[in-house]
Amino acid sequence: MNNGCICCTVRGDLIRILGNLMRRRDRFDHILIETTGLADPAPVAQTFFVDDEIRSQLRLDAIVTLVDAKHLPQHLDEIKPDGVENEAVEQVAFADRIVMNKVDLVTDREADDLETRLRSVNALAVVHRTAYGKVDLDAILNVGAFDLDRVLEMDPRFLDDTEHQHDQSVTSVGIELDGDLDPTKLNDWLGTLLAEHGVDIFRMKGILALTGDDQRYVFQGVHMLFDAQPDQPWKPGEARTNRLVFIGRNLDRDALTASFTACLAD
Amino acid sequence: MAARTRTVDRVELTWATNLDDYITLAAPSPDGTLLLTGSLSGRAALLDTTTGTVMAELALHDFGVLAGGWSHDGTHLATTGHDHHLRIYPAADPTHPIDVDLPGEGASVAWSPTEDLVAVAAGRHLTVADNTGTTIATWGPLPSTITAVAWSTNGLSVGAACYGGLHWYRPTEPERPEKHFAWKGSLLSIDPAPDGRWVAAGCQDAAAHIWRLWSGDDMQMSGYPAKIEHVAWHPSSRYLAIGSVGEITIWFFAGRGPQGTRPTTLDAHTRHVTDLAYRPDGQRLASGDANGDLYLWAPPKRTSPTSHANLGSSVSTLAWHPDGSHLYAGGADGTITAIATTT
Repeated sequence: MNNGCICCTVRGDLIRILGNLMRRRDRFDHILIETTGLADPAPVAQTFFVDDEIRSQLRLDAIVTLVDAKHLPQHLDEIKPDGVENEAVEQVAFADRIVMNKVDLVTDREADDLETRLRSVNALAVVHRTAYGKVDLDAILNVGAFDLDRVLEMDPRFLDDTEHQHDQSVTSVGIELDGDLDPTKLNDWLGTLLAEHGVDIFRMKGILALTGDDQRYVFQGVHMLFDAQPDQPWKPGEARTNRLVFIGRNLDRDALTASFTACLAD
Repeated sequence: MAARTRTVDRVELTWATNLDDYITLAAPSPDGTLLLTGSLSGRAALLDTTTGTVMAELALHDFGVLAGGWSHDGTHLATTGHDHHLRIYPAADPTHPIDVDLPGEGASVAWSPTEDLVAVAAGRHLTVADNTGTTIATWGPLPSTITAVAWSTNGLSVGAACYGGLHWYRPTEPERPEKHFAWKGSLLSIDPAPDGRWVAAGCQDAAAHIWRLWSGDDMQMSGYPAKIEHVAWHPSSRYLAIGSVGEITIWFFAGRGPQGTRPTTLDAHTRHVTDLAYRPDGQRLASGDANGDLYLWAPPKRTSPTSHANLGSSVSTLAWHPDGSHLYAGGADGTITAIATTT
């Protein structure tokens, strides 16, 4: 990780604070991390992947993004100078749950349009419409969005092209591919993909069928960091269908699909 | 594979005292009579080193004590913690502390080896005060929260470790530009070698980084399985011990340094090494881990432990009595244990 991009160079402050919290005798049930409005969620999420001490004691539950239904559209449209990220778009893209607040200040049509737009950026996040921030806490706490077994619950509708708009730089791309993957080709492809485009890939999740392996492999990641493990066996007669989803910037669906397809075993 | 322990040293539990919560501080006074202790309960106390009896309760640090230490001559002591306060006590009368407000939580304290000046990491600021609590200098904000502070062995400079490298300042010349030993990564500790030639820092990115103090030239020991929180210099500065998950490596620093050499590996721990401390005579190295295992070693001649004990709780801090007769181990369960060692 040394000399890597900034998202892979772990900042220690959050690790230190979490480490201190976990040392206390009266340990916590949950820790809510509220970032500033301009925060990049990636380093926060990555903290839970890269530090062994944190990883052994805490699990990342979900990234919840609160948006203002009245004012978010103008921030999504904001043109930033070269090299400056649009934080509003990034925070939507990283979310597992989006609380679309202040819907009482917009029309139903405006709310629908905004939700469609949010889904075009992030097809996986669950959107909750609220007024005055009133949301069922069960909808945003202890949802287990980063649990690998939740990857298996990915809604197949994210693969539906009709829901997506391709005129935005931050989008979701879902790929569905039948057949067994060659593990060596897959490793090489992922390594190259993340080395070259990891900065642009905010989130990724997948269920994979590896040749000669009865178990499903599930993985998910944030930028260059990902977690993968074998899951339950494929059921008898079940189609061995690989499913992948990427949320990120400048994603080329055709190129991703072609290069992933090339990982199929001969 | 873990090395087999053939007991060479006799270790005997002398006393154990509980301070309610995770022990963060155990520092014997220079004369060896008192042990300055603190825990995440906020409690700080002075214990009798021979019996473990609490001789004085010090002022609480709300939300927890994080650091403390004795002045070089033992006339003063200081504690700091989550509450953004530094408290300085005359050792002769530790009932009326001098209270110094800090611009952030106090994460680390270091007294000058030559003068009654104390440096404290206060959030992203580094503050140096004298023994009356008068602030001599403050620097910051640094790029991130300071994790550790230390003085150069000649007492002229004080260094702070944080994300992006080490920052060195001269308290007697506060306007002088800092000297920056850059490293792109989070530094977790700062340990100058006793002979003043080197300074080592444990890193979040599973490495230890070492600089030559006079030139700033650097090297890195990498490839460890996890972050490096603690390193320890042999009193002669000839060896540097680095603890990680399941192993300790000993690097040879005499002559031209360790470049191109292989370290000695001490292999017995099964979990993360949480602290390391060389005995003042340099003949033994103590190491503790998250499993509560405590080992004594005699590197580099012996690579198997000379003794082993399990304290029943993760070892949080280690310190030797100045005469080397006892080892003090703090634990995550709030217990401080004194262990007599006979070699």
